[in-house]
Amino acid sequence: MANNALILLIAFPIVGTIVAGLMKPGAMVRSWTLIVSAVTFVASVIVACSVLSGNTLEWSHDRFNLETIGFGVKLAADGISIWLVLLTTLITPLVVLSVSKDIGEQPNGHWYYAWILLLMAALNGTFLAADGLLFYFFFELTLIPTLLMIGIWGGPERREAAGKFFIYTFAGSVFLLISLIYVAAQAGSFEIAKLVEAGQYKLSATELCWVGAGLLVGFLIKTPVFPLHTWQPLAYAESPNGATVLMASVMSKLGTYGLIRLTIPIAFTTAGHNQTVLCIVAVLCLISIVYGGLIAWVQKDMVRLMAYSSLSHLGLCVLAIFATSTLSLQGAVMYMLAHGLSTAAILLVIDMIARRTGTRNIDEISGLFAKMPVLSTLLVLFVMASIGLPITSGFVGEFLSLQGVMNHYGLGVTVIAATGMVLGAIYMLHMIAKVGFGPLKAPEGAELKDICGREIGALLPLATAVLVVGITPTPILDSFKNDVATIAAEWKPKADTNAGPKSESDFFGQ
Amino acid sequence: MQFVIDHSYLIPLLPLLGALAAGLLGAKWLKQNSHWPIWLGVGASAVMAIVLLVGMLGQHPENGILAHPSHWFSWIVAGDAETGVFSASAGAFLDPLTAVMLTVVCGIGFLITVFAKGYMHGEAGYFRFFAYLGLFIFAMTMLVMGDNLIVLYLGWEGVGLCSYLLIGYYYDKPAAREAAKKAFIVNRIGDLGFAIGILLTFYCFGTVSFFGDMTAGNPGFLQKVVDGAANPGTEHLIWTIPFFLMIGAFGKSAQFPLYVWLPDAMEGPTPVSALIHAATMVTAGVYMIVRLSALFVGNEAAMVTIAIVGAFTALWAGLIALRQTDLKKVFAYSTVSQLGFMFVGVAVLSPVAAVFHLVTHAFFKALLFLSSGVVMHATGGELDMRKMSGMKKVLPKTRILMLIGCLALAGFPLLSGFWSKDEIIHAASTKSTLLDLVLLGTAVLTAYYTFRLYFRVFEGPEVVPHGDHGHGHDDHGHHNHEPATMILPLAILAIGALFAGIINLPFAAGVREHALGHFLSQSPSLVLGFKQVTNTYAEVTDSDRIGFGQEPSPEHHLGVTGFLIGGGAAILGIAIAYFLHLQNRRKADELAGKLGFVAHAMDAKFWVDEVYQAVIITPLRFVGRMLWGIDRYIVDLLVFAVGFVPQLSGYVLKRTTQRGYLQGYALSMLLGLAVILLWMFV
Amino acid sequence: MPEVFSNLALQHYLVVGSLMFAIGMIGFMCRRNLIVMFLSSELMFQGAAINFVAFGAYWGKLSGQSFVIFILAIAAAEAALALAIIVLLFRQKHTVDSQAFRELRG
Repeated sequence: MANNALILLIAFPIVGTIVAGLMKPGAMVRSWTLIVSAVTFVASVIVACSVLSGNTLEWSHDRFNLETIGFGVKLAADGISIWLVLLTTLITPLVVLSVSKDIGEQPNGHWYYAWILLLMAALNGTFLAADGLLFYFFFELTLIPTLLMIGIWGGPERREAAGKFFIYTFAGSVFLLISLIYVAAQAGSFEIAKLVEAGQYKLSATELCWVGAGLLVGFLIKTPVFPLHTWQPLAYAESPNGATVLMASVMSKLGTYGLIRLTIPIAFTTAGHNQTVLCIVAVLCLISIVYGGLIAWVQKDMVRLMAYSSLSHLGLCVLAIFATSTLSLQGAVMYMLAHGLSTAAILLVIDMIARRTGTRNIDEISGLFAKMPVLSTLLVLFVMASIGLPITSGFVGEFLSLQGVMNHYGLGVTVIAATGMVLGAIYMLHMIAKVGFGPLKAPEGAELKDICGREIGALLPLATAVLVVGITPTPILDSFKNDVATIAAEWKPKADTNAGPKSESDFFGQ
Repeated sequence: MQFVIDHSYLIPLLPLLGALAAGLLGAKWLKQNSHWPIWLGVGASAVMAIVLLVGMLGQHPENGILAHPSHWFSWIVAGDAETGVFSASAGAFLDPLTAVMLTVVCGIGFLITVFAKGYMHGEAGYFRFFAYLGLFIFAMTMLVMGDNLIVLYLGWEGVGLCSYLLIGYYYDKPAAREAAKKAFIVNRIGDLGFAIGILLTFYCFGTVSFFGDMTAGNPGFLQKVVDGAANPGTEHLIWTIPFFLMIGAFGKSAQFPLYVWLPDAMEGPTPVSALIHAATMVTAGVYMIVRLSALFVGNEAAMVTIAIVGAFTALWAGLIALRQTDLKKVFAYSTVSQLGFMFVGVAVLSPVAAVFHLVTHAFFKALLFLSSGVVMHATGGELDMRKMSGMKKVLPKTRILMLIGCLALAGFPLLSGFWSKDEIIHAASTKSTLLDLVLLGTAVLTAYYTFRLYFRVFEGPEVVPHGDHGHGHDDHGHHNHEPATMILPLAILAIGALFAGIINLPFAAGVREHALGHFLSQSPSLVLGFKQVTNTYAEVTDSDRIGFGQEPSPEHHLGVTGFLIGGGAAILGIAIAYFLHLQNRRKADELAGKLGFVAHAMDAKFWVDEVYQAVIITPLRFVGRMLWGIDRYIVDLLVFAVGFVPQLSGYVLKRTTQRGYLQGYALSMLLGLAVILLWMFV
Repeated sequence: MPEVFSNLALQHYLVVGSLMFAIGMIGFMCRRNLIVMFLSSELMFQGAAINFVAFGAYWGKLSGQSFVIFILAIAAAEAALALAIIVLLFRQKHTVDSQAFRELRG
């Protein structure tokens, strides 16, 4: 039963997409989307319960197999993927709930909802895929609804944003596909487990180096990491809010998830333990952390600020992923969840502010706390989660990631990585101070009402999740401990390095 | 007592529930009754804290270690055997140090919430204020109760957040906005150091628990420090840990160069200044170092650094305080200065003296801040001492209370501040004469600026300003400037300020000598700390023994000279203030005129804020802008360049082959055909 | 069948077909008048058709001849279309020079 529920997590939203496409714009289609996404959420909770009680769920169907190329439709849910599926299915209904009515009532408004559902299906599919090619298929499928949402409902520069977003991420995916095909040719199958096996035993170090580079580029663009991030601020800023939320909170996790699921197990095993590549990645992550933080500080547009903030945060996440130990991977997965929750929440709040004031420019608004106490309180909570205050979700992920980085890379790298903490506080509080504090100021025609029940309904689940994850992280950390431990066990530094738990100390010098 | 130990989670939980009640119900239902949940919550916690303290005073365990660990639940558990299991339990570690801190936090916290009812009456954000206060008490109790670094860090960040919210309480005031932001960010810089210290601790010792599981042979890192049992390959990093933790302490406890946020924090409502920015939160750094003294004392370089920073801050802030005209600013710099004393206390191997001064300081500084609050209340928000004088007729009770506070702060003989300050100075004098002189000089300055304020405001010809109700009050009839809910807590604090010295007198008088020291010496922190002292230093002096609450050697004699000098310093300062600010105020101005540049520098607070702005903030922001430019025009250009390759090749092909000439196409078809044929048949 | 035809071997037909094809091709390359170019292409077409017929006769099977019937039909249809297009193009620019029409070059 639960095994079959896996396909439902993809099938529900796809059916929803088709039906929504056939409906007329208006309130009906919104309710329909809400129902479909909520039902999917419930289904994912059921699946999650089964997974968390220790099962590994699998679903496959022989009819769709292509024996000649070793492709098979296989889905699987383990402790890592299920949390990301839950994140997707939790955030999608909330996005729908908070979508402004005016989009839904435009002549083609029903398609907006349809694309949200399709995106949900594609995201679920990517997280659940147990076959490399299927993973790639869903990974690419996420682009289509996003592209359409940006291109049709985006801001004034939507064409440029959509084009850049699509071409950039698609170009990265090409490398991903080539690497996958190459490994699959050796493995005789696209099944991820087989790919991993091939990476460990069949490929030479040189091959792994190239395969690893290909797998890296695709995912690092998606995450993104400096210098592959320039599509992101534009795409975030020009997207309609629903797309921005899903992009920032869930789609960016496709990159980090791919790193954990494919890149590290396939290409960075003992044989492919390539110091040079690892050092390059580490340096890029450190640059991302500082660079993103400093640029976020000088942004005027709150959404762009969030884009650069993501660059900074996910830099740490990727760094922790490449510190591959159980601790750091647990931290990284936790950080992915926490970042998804807090980013989605802050972007939703920004949209609520923008809808009322008509602007997202922090210089044009101030003193909103007086008029919107509930919204402001929630904003402060989410910002604190974003900058990693204890008892919010952000702390656990950030701290464990940093601890993993410390254990692996040593003091020097950690100090640089941890500056993200201070930079995060600086740009986030800069934003709050500008928008929330000070004398009341807003553009003409702004309707400064506090948030209504529907909007509270969209934010409250996120607030609860942020706090629950922050207060009781241990069950969550335990649920994927074994999965990340397997990955970490496959990845070991070469035996000839020093006995200490670190391996890069000579390079980063302490 | 046993109830408190079994249900220690109630101590932070009750204020938190109070805060939730006030926050969620306050806006619509409780309104001006929002103080009740906080009064109840904090009051209950205060009762529990006092019960705990009294209960512990009656316990004298055989092995000399008095501690009641209590485990609530496993908060964070991650990692595996290979990297070490990162485990942070949410739990309390109830030992004498915690008991003392809890009593100060909850007791004084409760008095201040009582005071705040009268002070904040009629404010629009009344419920919000009390909700934040409850949240603060929650975080602060977590901070002092935590049994590991992560819970300590939780409280640490939590109080930072509450401080931020409370400084920014008047959020429509730009000054409050900037001050709140500054407080949080400067603290966050300290927290960065603290966090790295924690990460290093786990890296080196594989645990973040202070004392581990005391029964199960699973030692905490403090024990490991004493035993020298670090993870192999990490020994070379241990010496850096205190330095990183120290940055955290300097941030939270407002030491040079991270003290700049504290004077600005006075933008918050006065009860907040009293509670958070004088009595409790800012002492967290001192608490942390005392708690971790085993880690610190063995590291001589770290101790010297702390001593230098502490003494320098004490003097530096004392100098700035000399010329401040805002009542709360004077006390703010005074707090910075007194915190410097406490740091010197821990640095000269006398954590007991530091905690002693922490306690007495909490009493008299809270008293002083709240009294200035009464002044502010009576003058409608005016705090400039140049605009007021001779207020004793208007505020007779406050004047007496303020006088007690000022005397205690100045270290007037026999009052609480005298004993605690003197103990630090005495301990310092055994280590370094220079340190001793700096502290004595600062003591003179302290007495001087304190009484400058007192004489200016309460004595002399009567000038009562009527401000514009700058702290946001509606005019609700200030007929009685000294209502009972405001004066009563002050009176209790004044009793503390007068007599708190009794808890740690250097001679027996009613209670035994060094009673506090004796009590604290049963804390595992001080036990391990003293063990580390004996491990590290060849010679352990009587001062060190007393500093850790141990019995001094039999030949130890109480030196009277020290007390005479200390008391003399206070009286000297008061006398100068008397002549310059009561007898002959014009003389003071003339003197300032003669000092010229020096006075100007003090007025400008030595331009530290400006230096920060010019050296750090502006360049960083400039770098941010520059990077943004690079991002848009260079990084993006590189990406564009990559995209340009196919674009260019397409263009070239189009120009060369796709020209639109039918014959050309036909010719190329023909050639293509020819090539294929050649390929096939030749 | 007259004697002269029966004496012709397969290669004679092929030479004629090739010549027609070559002439057509040269014409297509060298002339820019659309109508002439069209005529040239028809010439190539018929050259190919002659090959079909010749081979059909040579092998004694009718498939070549029957194919040519189709070719003729298609050529007729094509001629109708092509000439119509050329007329339309002429109406646009009052010329049938192939180099005048380059708008679709990309």
